[in-house]
Amino acid sequence: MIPYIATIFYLSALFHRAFLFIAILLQSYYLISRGLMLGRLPLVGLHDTLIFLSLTTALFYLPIYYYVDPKNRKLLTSMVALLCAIFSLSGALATASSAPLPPVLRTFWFELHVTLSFLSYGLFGIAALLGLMYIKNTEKTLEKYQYLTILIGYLLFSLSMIFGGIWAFYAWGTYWLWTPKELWTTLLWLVYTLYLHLRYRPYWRGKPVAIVGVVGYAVVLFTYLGVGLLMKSSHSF
Amino acid sequence: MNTIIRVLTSLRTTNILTGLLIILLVAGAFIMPTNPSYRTINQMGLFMWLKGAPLSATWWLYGSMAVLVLLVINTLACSAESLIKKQSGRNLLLVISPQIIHIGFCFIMLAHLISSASAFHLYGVLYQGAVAVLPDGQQIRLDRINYETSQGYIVWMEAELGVKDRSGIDRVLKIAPNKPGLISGVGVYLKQISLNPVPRALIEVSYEPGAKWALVGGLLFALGTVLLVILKLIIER
Repeated sequence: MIPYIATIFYLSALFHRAFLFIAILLQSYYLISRGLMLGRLPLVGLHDTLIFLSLTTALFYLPIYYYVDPKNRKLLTSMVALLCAIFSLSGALATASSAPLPPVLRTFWFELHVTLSFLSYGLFGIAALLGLMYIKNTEKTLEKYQYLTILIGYLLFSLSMIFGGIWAFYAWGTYWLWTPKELWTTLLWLVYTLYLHLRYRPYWRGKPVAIVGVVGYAVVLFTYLGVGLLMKSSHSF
Repeated sequence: MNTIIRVLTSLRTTNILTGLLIILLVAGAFIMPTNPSYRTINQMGLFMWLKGAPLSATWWLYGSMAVLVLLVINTLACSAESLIKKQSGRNLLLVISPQIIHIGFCFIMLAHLISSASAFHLYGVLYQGAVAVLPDGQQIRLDRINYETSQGYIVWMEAELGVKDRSGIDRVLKIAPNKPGLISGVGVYLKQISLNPVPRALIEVSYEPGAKWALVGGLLFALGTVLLVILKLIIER
């Protein structure tokens, strides 16, 4: 029930930003209580991860909200609220898995890997929305915040890949498996690597590089949802 | 000669190579799930697997390897140039941190090269009391399977192995998911257990010689990225 109410509050944030904070509080309460009930990190399956993605996207928007020019806040808040509402509703509709974790997932490395992944996805989402705003009105600060958001997201995502590699070595005897999920994860990392390098080239600065930042998020969504739903990999449990 | 050096140290080269790598990996991400040759790719070193796989399925892997070799050369050349030319008048940490990231990346590539040349993964079902012989002549015997269940799911499992080395000395090795055993540099992993009709375990014997280099590379990459993000945030503020 709570995820549906949180979705309504996210949608209400299209009209007043205060509802965004209420939705964040509701989702935080839901995930914490679910974690306590299950006795583990509630980050397995679409239900938990979509709600966590919605929450991280909203949470990472909070500092951005205070930094961006007030004239951009209304539109940006609406875009963030809509994105979070979509994730929240999708999470609410997905079946919640309350089964005990399989032994291979019962490790600190898995928890680190998955938490950092979704934190970075949240940041990449905010970066994509900042990029879209920048493409629309070419205000320099928006591009700067897109860059900083992607830079921090890139750090978290790289750490997630490193911890994932350590976990895979303990679990499967190798730090790298040739599966579609690993390949798309590498692609995602490469797209943001390209973004960070392109930004140093004057020709690419501005709109072209902002577009790469937006495209990166499309790869995020495909890596997370598309690969998981369409292809079999070591990430299917 | 000057042209070659200019191309090798150019950021434009980095971007073109990264873009090319992305295109090749996208092609691979669609070929891999549909081509039956890939069913065995995770059971041996990449180079050995490539020998027996058709070119129609592997062209993107050859292309990716060629691009990665060039990318590593480009990375080393760019780093050398940065350290030689850009030290004066700039924050030393800001100059060094991207180079730490680059070296980390090169170590990860070295790890993949070593693993591709000589890694192997052997799988086998071991019945309780049965003996398997490892590639180096040592014997492992499944003595006992321990497990715990919750709500009908196995939540913890462990296999007790008797290991007999070539001199005939016996020792006990306990392995569990995420807790592999090590026998003469070769990892022994517990993948699955089954109790009926006869207790048995799916065991993987894995040799991954690139793992330690991947760890070194990952740690350097993480260190460099953390440093760079902190410095960039300070500068941008």
